[in-house]
Amino acid sequence: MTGPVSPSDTALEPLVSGNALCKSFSGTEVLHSVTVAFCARQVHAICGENGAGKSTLLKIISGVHRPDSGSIVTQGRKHAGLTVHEARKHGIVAVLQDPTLIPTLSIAENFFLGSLPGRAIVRRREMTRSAQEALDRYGLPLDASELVAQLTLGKRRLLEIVRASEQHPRLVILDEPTASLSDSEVRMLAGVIGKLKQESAAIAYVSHRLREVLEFSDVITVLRDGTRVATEPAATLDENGLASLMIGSAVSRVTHRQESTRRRNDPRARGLTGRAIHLGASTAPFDLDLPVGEVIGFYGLVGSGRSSLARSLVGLGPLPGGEITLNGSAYRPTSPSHAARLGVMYCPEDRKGGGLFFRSSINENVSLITLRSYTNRADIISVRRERQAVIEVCRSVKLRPLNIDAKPSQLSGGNQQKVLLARYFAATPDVLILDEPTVGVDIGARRDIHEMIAAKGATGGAVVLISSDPEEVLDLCQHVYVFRDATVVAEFAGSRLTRDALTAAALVSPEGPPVP
Amino acid sequence: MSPVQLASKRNRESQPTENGLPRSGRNPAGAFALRHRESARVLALVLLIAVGAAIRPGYLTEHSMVSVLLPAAPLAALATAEAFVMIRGKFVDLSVGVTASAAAVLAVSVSPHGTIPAVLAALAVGATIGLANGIGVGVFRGNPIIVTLGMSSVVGAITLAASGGSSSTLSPGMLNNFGTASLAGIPEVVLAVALILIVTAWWFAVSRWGRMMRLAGDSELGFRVSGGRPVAGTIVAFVLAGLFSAVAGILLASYVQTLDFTIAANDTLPAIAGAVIGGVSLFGGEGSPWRAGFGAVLFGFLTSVLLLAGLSPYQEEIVEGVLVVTIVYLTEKLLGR
Repeated sequence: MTGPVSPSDTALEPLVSGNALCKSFSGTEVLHSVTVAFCARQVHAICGENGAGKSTLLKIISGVHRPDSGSIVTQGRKHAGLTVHEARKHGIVAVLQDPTLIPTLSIAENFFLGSLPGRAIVRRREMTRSAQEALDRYGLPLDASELVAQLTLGKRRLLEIVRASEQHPRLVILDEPTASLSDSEVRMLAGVIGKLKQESAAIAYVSHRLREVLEFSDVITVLRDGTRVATEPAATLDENGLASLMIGSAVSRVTHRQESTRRRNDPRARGLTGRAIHLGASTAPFDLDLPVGEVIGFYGLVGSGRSSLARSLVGLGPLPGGEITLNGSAYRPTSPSHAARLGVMYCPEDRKGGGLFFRSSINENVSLITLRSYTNRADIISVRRERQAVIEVCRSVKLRPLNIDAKPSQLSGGNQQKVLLARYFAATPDVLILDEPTVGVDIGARRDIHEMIAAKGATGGAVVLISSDPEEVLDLCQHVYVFRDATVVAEFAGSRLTRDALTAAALVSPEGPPVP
Repeated sequence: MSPVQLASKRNRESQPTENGLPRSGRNPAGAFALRHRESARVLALVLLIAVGAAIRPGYLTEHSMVSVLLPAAPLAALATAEAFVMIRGKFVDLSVGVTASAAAVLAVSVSPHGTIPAVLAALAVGATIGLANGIGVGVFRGNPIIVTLGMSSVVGAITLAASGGSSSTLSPGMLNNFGTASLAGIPEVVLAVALILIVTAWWFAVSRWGRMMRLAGDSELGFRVSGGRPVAGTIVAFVLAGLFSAVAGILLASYVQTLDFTIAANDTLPAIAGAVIGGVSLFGGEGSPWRAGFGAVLFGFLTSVLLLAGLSPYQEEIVEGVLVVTIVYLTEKLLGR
């Protein structure tokens, strides 16, 4: 709970600092009086759970958002807020997760975009030479004349960081810099960061990978619910200590979670089982049991492999390795339509890109999967039977108003999600996988959706709930698989299923073998 | 060519808006156009006929109406062919004109053996061309413009070789009688197209396959994730396009006295234009065969009024080309897609 701490003996003057920064979005305070100082030759990590306020803080520092109160101090001057342009003038550069390199140009051309040497004719040789010098200086084994398109995603990330470093910044903000990096590329990143420190820059570092945070950073600031809870030298923390600072003490509450209705001895109710599943060649194998009559949670951070597993289970990606069976027989789907015929369906997270049909009516959106049961032998749809069934399922998901001739674009986010779920609830698959079903919906709709999921789990097949919200998982699931780095790192059920256990497992490697 | 390029360009720009509402929701002119799009089209037809009547008092006579509707009938079949692939999603078939020509030439050359073999042969060749297009676009994921343009080139050359480049004349028979007959003053060709359009539009609206094609065009990814088979929809759409092109060819063969092997080769753009003007979205998921047919009729009246206004056929084609691109642009812009 102290101010910025320097790892060396000399007191460091901060290059850029934020004082008592506050920020609210539409009435919700996401940042409450946060003070943070970035000093020269220091890697300063910002840690916190999803929604703790990390990205808001960094967006204020880099000029994307303006704080409601508080100030940013740089070069001895106090600013009530910066624009992106001003931040850049003060030497604050951010390397965010979205790629900004142009793949069809060479590395050198990307380096000099906007400031190509030469007047009418680009002095190509000079450009390539100085880009090559920069690559060599930062220890990247790359050829400056190579096309960016030929580089791995990890190399592109490194290149963006080097390009930002070439502008002699005061503060470099790195958002999840290791997200797509291989082990050897992570070592290259360490070299680049070392070089930046030599050049007296300050580095702000955001990552969910606590081990790397501890390895790379000198100082760590932890945010929780928009408040700074600690700023400590990295050397005084370990993975567990850091994780417990991030999580804090939270009360878990259970509402919908029900006793399993699993019938263990019935082979037809076994649902989907997987033995020694692995998503990639180098990821650790794990077992999976999705029995009929249960709500099973896939908990983990975004990008931890939950959705990739779900998508590959319905044939939207390459099949995972290992042995997978559905109700006792081998399960190898080739496409979502094949998976659906076998009895496994996946309801995607993205309502706009792959969920809803915005030019069609709610009726047509909902009846898509079950359409065949309302047709006669000549393939003609019985409008009466179709509408009756659609109205019934829409009523059960509490769609309000119950106008099935409207188009989804006329609905709120919560109602759109209900329409999407209604399509899947109208069908009766053995395994139904719901990917983040309550993202971006209001509290009322969220409650309705939770009730629907609980009801479906009790009466239907296995329901898999993919979520990065621990409350949701605790509310609904009897059994939870925790994902990290494209594998299952822990399993919880019964009394072991607590909020702290979930979030800790998603962040740090568990001691000993996973809970059986 | 430009409606297609225009379409693909605009499509990239018009991703769904943030709140999921179509753009027109915020644009009063667009909202107005969206609400009155049906009446606007009927109004346009009435206006065109009124302008025609103002230019030449005899325009409203039965004879003039027939001379407009007769060429519009095969065009309506071609526009319907185009509508299937457009509704299925962001596709366009550039081979419909050449397919119609090939079917017409084949029908004429088989006609000495009887009308039914002639009709069946023409339909078979249309379906085969459509199947090849559908496999190229659906299974091999070929760009529909390239696949169907390549198909045009192949079919055009085969038609030329088979016909020897000379015009042919239909043998007297059932087909010939049908092409020249009228019922209550309306050519049977026009009545046949009207009947086919009504049945097709009904089928498209109430059948599972029609629904599937439209939903796959609305969101191909969503369709696939929900367990649909978009490739099957693509193949069916292209086969239907081939069949309806063949129908256009048969109709042409029935009433055109001396048939050139390029009879319908230049009708592809008017067919696309007819479908779009009638309200079939170039971006898929929206439209119906009757809309395409109505658009083709509208297009027929537009052509005839331009000719009445004293334009030479060349000038008429220039004006028409510019108008088509403008209308397609305005339709898509005002309706927010």
